[in-house]
Amino acid sequence: MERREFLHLFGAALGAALLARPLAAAAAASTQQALVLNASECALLEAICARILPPVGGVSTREAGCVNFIDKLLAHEERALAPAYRAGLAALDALARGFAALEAAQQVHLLEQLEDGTLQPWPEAAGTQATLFGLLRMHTLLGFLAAPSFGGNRDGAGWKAVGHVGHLHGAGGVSDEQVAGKSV
Amino acid sequence: MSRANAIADVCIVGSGAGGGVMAAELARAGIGVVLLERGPERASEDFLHRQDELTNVLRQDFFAPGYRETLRASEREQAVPGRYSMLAQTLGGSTVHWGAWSWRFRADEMRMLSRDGPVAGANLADWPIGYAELEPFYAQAEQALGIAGRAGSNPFETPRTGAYPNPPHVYRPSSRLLEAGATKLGLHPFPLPMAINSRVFDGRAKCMNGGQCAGFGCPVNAKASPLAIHIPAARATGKAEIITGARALEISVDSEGRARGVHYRAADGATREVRARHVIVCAGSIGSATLLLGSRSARFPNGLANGSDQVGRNLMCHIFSLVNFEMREPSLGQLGPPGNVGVDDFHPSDARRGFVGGAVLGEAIDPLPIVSALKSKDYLRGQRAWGEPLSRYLERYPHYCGMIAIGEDLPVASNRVDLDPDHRDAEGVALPRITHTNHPNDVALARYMEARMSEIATAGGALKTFATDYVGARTATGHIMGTCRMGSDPRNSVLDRWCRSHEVANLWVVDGSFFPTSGGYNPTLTIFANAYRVAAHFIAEARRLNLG
Repeated sequence: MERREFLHLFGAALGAALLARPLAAAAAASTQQALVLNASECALLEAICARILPPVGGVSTREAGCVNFIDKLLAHEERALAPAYRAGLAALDALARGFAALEAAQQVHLLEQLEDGTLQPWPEAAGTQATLFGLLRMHTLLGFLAAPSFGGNRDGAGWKAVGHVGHLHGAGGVSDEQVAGKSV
Repeated sequence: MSRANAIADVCIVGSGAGGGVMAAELARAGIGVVLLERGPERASEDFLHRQDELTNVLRQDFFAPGYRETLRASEREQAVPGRYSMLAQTLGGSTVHWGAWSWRFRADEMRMLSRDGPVAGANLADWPIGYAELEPFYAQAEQALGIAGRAGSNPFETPRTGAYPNPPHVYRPSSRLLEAGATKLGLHPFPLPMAINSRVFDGRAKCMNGGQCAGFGCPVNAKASPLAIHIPAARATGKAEIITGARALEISVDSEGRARGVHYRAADGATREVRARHVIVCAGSIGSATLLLGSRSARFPNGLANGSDQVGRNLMCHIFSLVNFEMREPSLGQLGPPGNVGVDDFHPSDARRGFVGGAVLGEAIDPLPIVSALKSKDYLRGQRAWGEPLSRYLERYPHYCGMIAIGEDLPVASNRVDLDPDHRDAEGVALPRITHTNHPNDVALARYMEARMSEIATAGGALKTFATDYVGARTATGHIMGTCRMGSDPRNSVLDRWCRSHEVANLWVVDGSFFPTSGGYNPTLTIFANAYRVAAHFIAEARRLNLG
């Protein structure tokens, strides 16, 4: 078949073939109901996120909705990650015999081992330990600081915690004097 | 123009800094233009409501959703799919989301082979054009874009007559820290020239000083771009037909080996052909090279106009180093345009430093929190970058700022773009494959600049400096140059001095592909200026009916 005919056949399938747009995540984020994670996974993740990022400016990862962000991420843009991610969470929780109920120091120790890749036994289905830790850390940060439409940073609480001013264009911007730091 | 059998004067592929200028200038001169733009038309409404840091900056998913390339370090490796370059597919091109730093290249940068070379392992060349020829077109581009700056404030800038059309942007506390540090070290800081309105200009708004700028479209068109300036100008002539959602697939040739037209996939999924007397490719260094390489025929088995085997080669992307710093008072780096102070003292080439070429240094704000948060690993080096130390780091966010070096990288013939033999996109078209390894000169240059920037920030009173390693970023930049080298010898170049291909008399490539070397400045103003120069030539030749 001539290449141009081949491409013509695929033209109609363009829309379906594009990756999920952020609007999909935004629509999903409008519900706080978990779409992918079960209750015990949510509780486990709350404890992990809180240990990775203790309260910032008094705002906790729980208040910011980090776990909701992760749930929506696993439901949409990163759905390919979900099986390994959940297998890793299960393995960690099993090794901890209930991570969420442990003392802080014990939780930290387990996460350090996960970061270093020294937890044993570790199922192959969960992928590399260091990779999982890196994802958990990244997702915690994104859950705290990404735009609220993605399901975290609830009502901009994460932005307020770090002192981020938010998107100014719709709020009228600021003056040159304000940029210079020469006016209140 | 799009009626069957109609032949347009000119078909332009791509609406960025090159294509936008060509469309506006040619249409203004009465030449009929059909402009194909792969992306949709996005505008103020999209920029005000639909952009965010995760989508635009981390995922690079706002302006080219789903776009992928493959990348490998050398020809011995398999290329890995991913999102690497920062190119956009949108009406107005990647310039819609640029950081707007705007420079005239120095005269000696266009003579790099004569000045510094040859360099083993690199493919240096002099430009076949010089600064004097580009000078009036730089002035034209600066006026059209409303560059904000102070002429003569940078003793290392190329000598110029005439002021910038707009005054410079204000300095924030972090700018003043860098200015003080540079001055203390005997350097010469100056306000960065930026294509962002510092006042109402040319019917476009003044910058609103919201830091969400580089990587984003401007909702008020204070940031200059073809979307804000050249597309409206082209439309106003009534001589330009602009087709968005139109992906160029192949340039067709006639029995005499001249370009006949452009086959494209339209927004409705149908494949059509625009026939034209001249085809002007302005799809950027990656898009233009892959379009030519994918346009094969019996006469051009290696790709259109590629008898030299140079199409796709000599890919350059600059090399960057970045030093972040923490200051005692808030930096106010969340406010204002992406600038505002520059230092050009380290730009002139001096081989005694252990490398050739140079870099301009500029203030690099962290206007958005996620990118700043990800620099925690650099700040917390030597300890685990999570737990209480991470929380404390985030709390200091308003106190951070940075400085970046735009370093010249050397052209290497094996650094190239071609068509991946294994990976295709959703439409069945081969993904662009990038093969790229930095020359040792690039790395030495970047490390040197990193040390200089640390010194400046420290001299200015920074509490702490911490570098972010960008040496490994490769083509994850907005500065993609080369791939259709301009030169006087058809054996080792693709385009002549007018950006006309050596082999196909009615095929032109007018974007950043033509750069023989990358210079130590952001490239876009030079892309604009060259496009004005080529447009003027094209118009003059058309009137003399001398177009072969």
